[in-house]
Amino acid sequence: MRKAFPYLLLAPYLLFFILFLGYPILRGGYMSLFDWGIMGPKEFLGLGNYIDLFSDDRFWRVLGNSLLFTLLYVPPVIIISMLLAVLLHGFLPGISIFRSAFFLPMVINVSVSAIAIQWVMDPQIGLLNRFLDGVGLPTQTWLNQQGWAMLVVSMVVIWSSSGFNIIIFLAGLENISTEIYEAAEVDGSSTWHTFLHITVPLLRPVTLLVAVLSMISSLQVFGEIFMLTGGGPFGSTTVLAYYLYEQGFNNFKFGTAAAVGVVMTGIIALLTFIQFRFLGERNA
Amino acid sequence: MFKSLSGRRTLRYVVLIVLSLIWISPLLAIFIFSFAPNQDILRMEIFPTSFTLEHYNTVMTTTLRGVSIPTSLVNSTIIVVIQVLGVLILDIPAAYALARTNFFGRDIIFALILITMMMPGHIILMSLYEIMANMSLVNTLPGILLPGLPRVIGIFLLRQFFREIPNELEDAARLDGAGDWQIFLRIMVPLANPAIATLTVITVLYSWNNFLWPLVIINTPEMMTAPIAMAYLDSGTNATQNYADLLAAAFVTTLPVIVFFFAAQGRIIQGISPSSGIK
Repeated sequence: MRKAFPYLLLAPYLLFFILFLGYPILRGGYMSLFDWGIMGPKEFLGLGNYIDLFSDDRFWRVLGNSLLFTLLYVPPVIIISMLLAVLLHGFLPGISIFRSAFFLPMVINVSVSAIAIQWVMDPQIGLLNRFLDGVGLPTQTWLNQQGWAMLVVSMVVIWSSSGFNIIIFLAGLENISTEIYEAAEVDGSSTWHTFLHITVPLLRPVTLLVAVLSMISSLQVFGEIFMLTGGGPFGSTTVLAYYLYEQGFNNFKFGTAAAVGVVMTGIIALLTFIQFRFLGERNA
Repeated sequence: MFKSLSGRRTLRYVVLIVLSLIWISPLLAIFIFSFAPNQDILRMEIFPTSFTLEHYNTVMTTTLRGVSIPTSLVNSTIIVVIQVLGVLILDIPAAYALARTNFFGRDIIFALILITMMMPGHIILMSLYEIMANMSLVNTLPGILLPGLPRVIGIFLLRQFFREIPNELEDAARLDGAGDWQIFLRIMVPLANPAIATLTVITVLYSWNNFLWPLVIINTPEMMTAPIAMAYLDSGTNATQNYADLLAAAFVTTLPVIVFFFAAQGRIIQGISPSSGIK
């Protein structure tokens, strides 16, 4: 009886784990080796889907778009979240109200935030163009223009994810002893000098954690792309996750989509491995 | 460059007020213009010229392109409740077994669970869809919610918590004659309440805001969850249509999550902070 106890506890979870996570992962890998349509497997291709992907200019462009998004998203989100965390750290009457304001966007669904952004940037009824026109600057069709579209998407993702990262930075700031700041104050160090030479170096482990987590999530960005640009204009915002969705559910190339999923998994597993290996499971 | 302490504090307030207003401006704009006549939006008024509840009336009592917002809220609520209960019922015992019992294969099972954490959900998108199609679960509530049940994050959070409970408690209970089940249900689960509360909160948010999977598995308006309903309405609305209805729908579907955020803010922060060990 005693021997059965752990297995009884674990069995229900394992059943669901195998059914909806373990088996689908293995089957995803299996599907990627076939010409697999909506009616099931047609032909075994071996690594054919992967060879097709990597010899297709369009897929290289998708990889490039994902990399571009990572570059437009990760460095700004680190800097913005760190600065906001410093601003929100420590006691100030009413500080919790401000914290709430910055944390709130992370629980707002992408469909709703996208509606707000589309409205503000709408070529006909958007307030942004009205404002730009008012001050004599050229108006834009923001989301329909290559170059602007990806930048707008990255701004929306920065907005919605900054709360998450601010919380991680705040936890890091809690761990810095106040004595260091008092000493700096006594030495007459300016706010800016203290920030650059004390806060930033001491936050290094937390910054690394935020960097890796942000890179991992940036490679999976989907909702904002789906809502704001649909991968366009001219494929310029078709990132990995969106390409997978398009191949699978618009073109019904399940095998190709599964192969894209495996490629994404490879890149993300590598980044996660780095996180565990160099930052530790418990990190910071 | 000497700045008085109060001067610095005023500056900090000014910066905080300006930035936080920018941060919540999208939500504020949706809220304010959801009460405005549609012409205000078309005329690009910066502030509404009059107040109307017409859009809320439309959203709550009629269907827009086949979508009923109240139905989508009911769908979302059912999914959240079942997913939260399911995750707790599955994760608590499993995490306890992995944390505090010894059995053959424990470390391998834990390693396998850990490996899936390194994988993006996209790898199972195609295969899971096919599995659901084979089980005739496409466009059904079970089809939407079943894949959300084996939440690995809960195993991590709870396992860590159970491991930190001192052995003396368990030993003392055993001396008093308590069995395995009693120790688990009467001592360990109550002790794990804070971790269970954190898991509940992050599961509610995950479940309510889940986007990609419901988007794939739902294909009729009456099955849509709130976020998918909003995406669907948005895709069919343009500037010349009744944009204010869309804003009212956006606010109605967001209000539950805003209320939940303010009620559970502390737990959300705990769930994210690295010290509690969850990402």
